[in-house]
Amino acid sequence: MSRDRTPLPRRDRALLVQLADGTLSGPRLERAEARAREIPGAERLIERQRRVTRALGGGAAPAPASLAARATARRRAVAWRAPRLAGAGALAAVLALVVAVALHGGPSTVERAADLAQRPATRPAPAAAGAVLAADVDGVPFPAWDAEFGWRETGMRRDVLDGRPTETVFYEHMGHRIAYTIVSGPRLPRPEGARVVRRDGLEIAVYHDPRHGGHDIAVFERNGRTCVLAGHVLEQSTLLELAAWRGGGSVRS
Amino acid sequence: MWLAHAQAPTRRLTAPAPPEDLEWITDERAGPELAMDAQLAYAAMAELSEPLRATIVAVDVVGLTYKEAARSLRTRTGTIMSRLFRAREQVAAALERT
Repeated sequence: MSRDRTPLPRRDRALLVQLADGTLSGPRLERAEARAREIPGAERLIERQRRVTRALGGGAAPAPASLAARATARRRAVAWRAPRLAGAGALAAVLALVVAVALHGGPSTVERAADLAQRPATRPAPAAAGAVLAADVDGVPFPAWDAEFGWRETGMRRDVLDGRPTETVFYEHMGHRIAYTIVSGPRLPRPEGARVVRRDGLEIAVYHDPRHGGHDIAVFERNGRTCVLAGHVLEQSTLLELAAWRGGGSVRS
Repeated sequence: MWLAHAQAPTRRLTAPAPPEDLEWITDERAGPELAMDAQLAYAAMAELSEPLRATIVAVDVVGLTYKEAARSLRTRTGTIMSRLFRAREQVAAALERT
């Protein structure tokens, strides 16, 4: 491996990382962009950074659920014990995860469906028609949560995962976004390592993905089709409540 | 409404927007190019120095924020970002060589 010979000052390296990751906003972003324009080849350097994050899973391949669960547990443990951990111990905790990542197979269809929550909408949101939206997959409609919960549908997208058509509707509430994906075809296996809970008679597999600042995922079944609900929420119970809502019978179980 | 409670994202990586005129979007992760990139990236990570490798694993694989990674690796946030840049640069160089 060749040594890094980038002559960039440390401060500029940090700035380009933040621009590549999209972690800046407002005046800080404006200042960073202004500074980046003065750095020769900044655009290419940022794209190189992004290529690596895409390859390692940032916004691309999701961590498998089992790994995500372990990563979450490890993340909490490392953070909690950090003051008492020797440096080598903390390093070992993180490095153990890369071995797990490297040895693990590719993500399942469900896990990839959950990652669609990080993608942009490509079409307008379907119109609401009572307790459901004017969109469905194999006869399973998307719920209309605005009136009941304040989560307003804002857009949708269509994808094909492992040969299965999927539709995703995005909902927003107070500036936060969740995604509801329905996967066409027979039910998919539950994600490995997920916790299964029952809410209003519906079995829901839930797990936490620590990437993207952390988001929760609920996987359940409606009329034999796999549904995946993913987003940033304070409590997993938020997703459970939304997933289990039947809209007075309009949302088929 | 209690469902209004939501957690502000601390770090968000966004994928490039797909062409608007595509009716059905084939998942690009199924493509061989990204799969090859991932394989090469992991191989390149194995060649990094331990501080760089630990940093890129913490942020890009585990998904920790810069601050969380700094706390876990007992260093400063600025050091994490600097190491992250260098680690990604070395991995990107390996990707470009192939």
